[in-house]
Amino acid sequence: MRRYRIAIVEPSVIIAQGVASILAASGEADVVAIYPTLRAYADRLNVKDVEVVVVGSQVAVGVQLRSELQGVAVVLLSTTVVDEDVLRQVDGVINIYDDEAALMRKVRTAVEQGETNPYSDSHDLSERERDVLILVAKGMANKEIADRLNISIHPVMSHRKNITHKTGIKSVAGLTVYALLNNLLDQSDVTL
Amino acid sequence: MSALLSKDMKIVELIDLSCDVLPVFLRLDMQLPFGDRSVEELCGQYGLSSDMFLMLCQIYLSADVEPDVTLLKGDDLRHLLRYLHASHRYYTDVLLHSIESGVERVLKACDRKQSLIVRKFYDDYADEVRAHLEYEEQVIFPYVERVIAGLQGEVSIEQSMANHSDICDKVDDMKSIIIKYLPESCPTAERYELLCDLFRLRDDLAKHTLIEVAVLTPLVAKLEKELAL
Repeated sequence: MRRYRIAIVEPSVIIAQGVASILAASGEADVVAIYPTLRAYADRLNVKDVEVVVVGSQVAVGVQLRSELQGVAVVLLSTTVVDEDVLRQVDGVINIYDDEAALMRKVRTAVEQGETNPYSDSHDLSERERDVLILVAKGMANKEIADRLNISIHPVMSHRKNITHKTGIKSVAGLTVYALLNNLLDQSDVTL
Repeated sequence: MSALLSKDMKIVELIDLSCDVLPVFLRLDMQLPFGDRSVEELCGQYGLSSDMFLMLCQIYLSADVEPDVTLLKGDDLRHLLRYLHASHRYYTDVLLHSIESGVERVLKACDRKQSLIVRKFYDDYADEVRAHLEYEEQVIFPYVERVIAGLQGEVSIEQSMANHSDICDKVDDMKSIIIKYLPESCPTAERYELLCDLFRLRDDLAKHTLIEVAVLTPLVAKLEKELAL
């Protein structure tokens, strides 16, 4: 039987350990690591070949899950009300009231789904491009962005070129709309 | 000028090539029916040169045209101005209205926050377009009239044209937002309809800009030079 290598990203230790032990007990899963945040997951060391990431729903608020979690099946662990935007970016959803069988079944379907999900190889922005985009939307000039991110102005310009290429949007106003629609930015952050 | 178009061809043949030329007739206020009249006959009736008329048609027919303004003469500039003015009226009175109600229909089903964001983007853009056209109506066209009347201006047409902003980029942005990023909840048929209008606006603005830059500006610059002598 296929065994899935699973990582869990969830700040609540109780929930994370609970899900981990149920998954492990199924005999079909190896829970290889647990992280409190997406940042910690991104910085992981020595943990390779993760196939499935189970993400707590608070973690998923306001982030582009698809670009944070590339090349893996994403299963949302629903503990709160979840936005439609988030649901569209995941391959499966488990509810904290699901029983053991349902939980493992959903992971399996998610992996199959992930293998066919068109979003998996989408042209999403990289993390750095997102940082730049957010500052552009806040109205900063290239020089200010370079200072803020501690890089020189050339990479800022090339990030901007990539952002326009990937999104199809040139104007600052248009990029702001993109950032807001994708929840990269809150409306209060920009002078609309 | 392309070999396809000639002043001897019948108007009906010209229109049969592509309906893209229809705005030229409408904006020059040429009344139907055309019967079997040729290009030359129709132009004669309205007092403009076939060269200018065919130049405008050619611009609407193909993507890369380099208009030869040395062919133009006399009253052509006045007709050109009339033409540009009619284009402005079409943008402000017809197309922008149609796009505006299209935006409204598309956004009706979106959630409030998203709808406000996109709505604001469009409204700002529409204001920009109106301001751009207004500047031409209030500053550039009256200046051209003065040059036609033989009065020497204190600025030049090249300076005045350089002053005004590009209004094509944001239509493209709007298009990308609608094709790629508006949520599924926005109604599909309305979205396609709006896209058609946006493409129409973008293509027409591009032609319009070409006419201003490659026909109007050199014609007026030539007159300015003659006045300065």
